[in-house]
Amino acid sequence: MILKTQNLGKKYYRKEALKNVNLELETGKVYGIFGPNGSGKTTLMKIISGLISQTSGEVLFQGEKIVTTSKKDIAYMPTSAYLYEGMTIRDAAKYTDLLYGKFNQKKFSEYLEFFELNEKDKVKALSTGMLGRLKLILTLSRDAKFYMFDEPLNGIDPVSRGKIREALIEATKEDRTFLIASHMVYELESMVDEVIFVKSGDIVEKNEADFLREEHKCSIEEYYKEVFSRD
Amino acid sequence: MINLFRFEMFRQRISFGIGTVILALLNIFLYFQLFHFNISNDKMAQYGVLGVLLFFAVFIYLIVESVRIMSRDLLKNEGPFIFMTGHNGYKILGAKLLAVFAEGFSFFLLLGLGSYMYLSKLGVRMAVLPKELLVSSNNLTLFVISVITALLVSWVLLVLTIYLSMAIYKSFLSQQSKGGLISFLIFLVLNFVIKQVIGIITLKMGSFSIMSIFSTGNVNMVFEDAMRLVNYQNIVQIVFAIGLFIGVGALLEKKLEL
Repeated sequence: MILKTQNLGKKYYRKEALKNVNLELETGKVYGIFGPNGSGKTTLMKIISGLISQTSGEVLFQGEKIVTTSKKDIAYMPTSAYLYEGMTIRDAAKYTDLLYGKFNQKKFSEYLEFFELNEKDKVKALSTGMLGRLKLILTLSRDAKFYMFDEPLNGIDPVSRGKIREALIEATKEDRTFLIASHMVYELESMVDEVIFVKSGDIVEKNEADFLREEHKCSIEEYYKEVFSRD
Repeated sequence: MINLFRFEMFRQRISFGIGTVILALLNIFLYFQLFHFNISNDKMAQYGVLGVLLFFAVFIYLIVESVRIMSRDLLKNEGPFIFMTGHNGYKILGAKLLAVFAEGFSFFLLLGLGSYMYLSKLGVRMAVLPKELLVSSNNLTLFVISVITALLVSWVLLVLTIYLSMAIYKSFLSQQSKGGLISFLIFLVLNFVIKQVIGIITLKMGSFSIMSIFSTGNVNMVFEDAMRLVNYQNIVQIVFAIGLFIGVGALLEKKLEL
């Protein structure tokens, strides 16, 4: 098991963003974490990546409490445009390598070509789609053990979405663990091994994707709609 | 931490470059004015005033730069890039302080060069002053070192107080609607309290009066007293700065809400 959360809770002022979340993620699997906006997906990922702290409970990464150095093995792609705008794509790779370590330059160059990005382009000159692709490839080029992508397809045009899906599918073939958050279930359901549904800070479903399809005789998206249209 | 420092310097490169070029050009201008043209006493006095103003302007600019270097990570979007790296809060804070220190060092070096040229020229004109009014060069050097240290430590202390209020805003007050205002008030109160405490402690260690120059007629003795007091103050400020560094580092490490 690569990651475990025990009674993980997070309160934002009066709002409870996560309610005693108990989650176990196995090494080498691809997890899709689905839920509407504000359900707690980003909060969970931010706690795991160390960008925010939990109010209660704990997170164990490879059996140990997450400490600063664990971040070297956790690659997280946030939704925000977090890259310094004054740098070029080449600078972004250089500083990701310098600051994070374990950066695969060869893989990065291959992704650049695949996504048709020019390393001389400045971050501030990139469109939303291009920036989304850059964030994705910077994250994928790190040799981490655990990868998290928060809404990797949000605001991306259909062509780029296809390419991102393709890159993700390719990356998940390697023996690494992925947690991909989205509310676009249809786009991602074919690539995930397990499905996690989050509703108002609670995990309301966690199961094998194939099992859910068979059990409910429908696609994950249809099941998602059923679960989230209740009450 | 070297890599974090490199990244901070990279992000500062434009302001650093512009500041360096402006100060270098001013030095070239000053050099020609002082040594290649016949400059009047009035103009010399004006340049002296402008030099002092420039010195304070650079000091204020460096405080603004220090705020900018932290706020871009804490209050804007760029924070995750630094805070997901696996470097702890102390290293991140240290790299930021070092980066502004490097920028300040370079600016003050250029200002120092300008001051040296100005004082050299002024020295020629002041050679007519009676000897007993001149401070021994040894004392003057030590005093200048103490004052520069005092400026540096005061700057670090002020910047750390600002960082502490920003870190409080992005940790304990991150969910408060009036968090910004409260953290600003915290900054004002903290600054006032620190200044008062430093003042009280320093006064307990000794005192000096510039007026004693006239009662004792010994400029060097007054300089030594002043230097001792400045050194006491430096020690107390360094202790506070260490405390603040630990506090800010801990908040960045454990309590940040990005």
